[in-house]
Amino acid sequence: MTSAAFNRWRTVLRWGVGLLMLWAAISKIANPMDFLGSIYSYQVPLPKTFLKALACALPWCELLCSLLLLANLWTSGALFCLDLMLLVFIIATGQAWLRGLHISCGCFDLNWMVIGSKTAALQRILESVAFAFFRNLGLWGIVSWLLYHNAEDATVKLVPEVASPIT
Amino acid sequence: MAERSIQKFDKKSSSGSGSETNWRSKIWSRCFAFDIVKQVGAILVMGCILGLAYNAANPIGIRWSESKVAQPPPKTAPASPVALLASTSSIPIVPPATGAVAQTTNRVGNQTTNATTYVPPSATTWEETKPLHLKKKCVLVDARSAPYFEAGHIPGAVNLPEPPDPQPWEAFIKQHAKSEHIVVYCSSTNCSLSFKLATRLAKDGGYEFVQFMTGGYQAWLRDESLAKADPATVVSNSPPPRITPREMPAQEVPPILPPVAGEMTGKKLENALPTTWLQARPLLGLGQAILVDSRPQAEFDLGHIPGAFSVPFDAPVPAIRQILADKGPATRIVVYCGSMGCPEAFQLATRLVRDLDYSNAQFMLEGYAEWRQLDQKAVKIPAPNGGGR
Repeated sequence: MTSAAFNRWRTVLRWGVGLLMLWAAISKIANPMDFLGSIYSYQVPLPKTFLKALACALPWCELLCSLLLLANLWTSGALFCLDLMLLVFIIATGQAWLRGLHISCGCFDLNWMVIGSKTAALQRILESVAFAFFRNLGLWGIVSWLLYHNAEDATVKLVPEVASPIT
Repeated sequence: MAERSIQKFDKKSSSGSGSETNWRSKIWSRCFAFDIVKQVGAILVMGCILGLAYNAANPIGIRWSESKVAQPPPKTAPASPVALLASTSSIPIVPPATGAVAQTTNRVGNQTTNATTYVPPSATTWEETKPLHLKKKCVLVDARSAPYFEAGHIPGAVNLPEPPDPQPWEAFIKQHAKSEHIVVYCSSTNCSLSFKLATRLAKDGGYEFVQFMTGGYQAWLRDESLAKADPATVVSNSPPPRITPREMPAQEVPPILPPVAGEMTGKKLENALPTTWLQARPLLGLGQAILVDSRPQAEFDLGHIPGAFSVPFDAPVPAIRQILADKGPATRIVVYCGSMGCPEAFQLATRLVRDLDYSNAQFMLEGYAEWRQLDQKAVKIPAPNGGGR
């Protein structure tokens, strides 16, 4: 693959991740009590005050990261931040799946597609923790890959500054 | 700093003892060489500040202190749910048309079977429910699952997650008499749990007067925030003047359909609100509302409720304007589709509210299939002018 095509793919992936996280963030910000309910349903042994603070701050961190990714600003920082958040999501959904908790993952607002009974089964799959676990795992892989190559880009950009006196 | 990092990276790369060390140092250098830690720190701090500030200003935001839970409502039931609603609600209510319960009788051909009948749940709002709840004259039921209930609920509400497990369901049935006024709510306008549980309570539980609260928990959160900000703006808790159907002259008897939220608040609605056939039927009979079939034209042609206009849910705005040309924006429009749970009625009614400014457009929870079962032979609606093919 040529470097131009490679860069195009990376831009597409970055935009994809940015838009996905933007959707996730907005649906959580729009209904914070529902998101807090989703966090409670994971039954994590942490103080309620901490979980409430998490429910307040996490969607906004997601929102900032997604906007930075879309604008291609502080991309490494945004990707690293998303990487950390996705790791937390993977642990949360993984433990819920292992414990057999029948809960909705609360990752996205899927109410728009629940109006019809035909979409109920699909909605159940999309909201299940097992699906969320694998989706988060895949997303984490993509974000990590983007982060690695983004950092590589930054290195390459800075090399001429260092290398110019030598050449 | 970047220069130093690069040098460090190059140094490590060149002096690394093995490929593993090289790999590790490469990852470490790439991730931490260019102020990523500072960027991550800034994003997290900004996210926390923005999140907490927005939450403090958000009327439906997360509450740090737990709501005081009121005593559960008494077990004594009102003598007549309809009379109770008429006496406490600001909206004049008349009892359902004669034989309202009989409407649900399953008619097969010309024979009427003795199948279990029930009154379908009707829609209500927090504004209507509030006075009843404060006087403990209704049972508020939260249809969300336990963690959501734990995260926050209307004080005094009982949690019965939909679908209910046998044990809490039986406990609820034992605890509450069939004649009690039950109001079910869930998260917000979007969720459908309240309607499902309300139908279950009416159908399987045998409750005579069940309502589902549109707006759900969010409506209560908004109202509570409003009360804290400006107590004068809150709906008065004093009972409105009692207007019973008998006291009103016959010609002034209002139809059963309560005003939609937009009329009460004066604000433009974002989504159309639901209604039921039981509520819409008297209005349609009096010619005070029009019925709109949102199914595709082909399905409409195969069969429809008499008097209905055909407006396919995906019809373009100019076409809808043409069909409803002689109907003013205040016209009550009741939209239905194929069967209960179908999305077209909600979609078209919401388009009518949002795009065409028909603030009184509502979607009917029952569809054509239910109408055929319930009311096919009982109703004779005069065809409106220009419509109702």
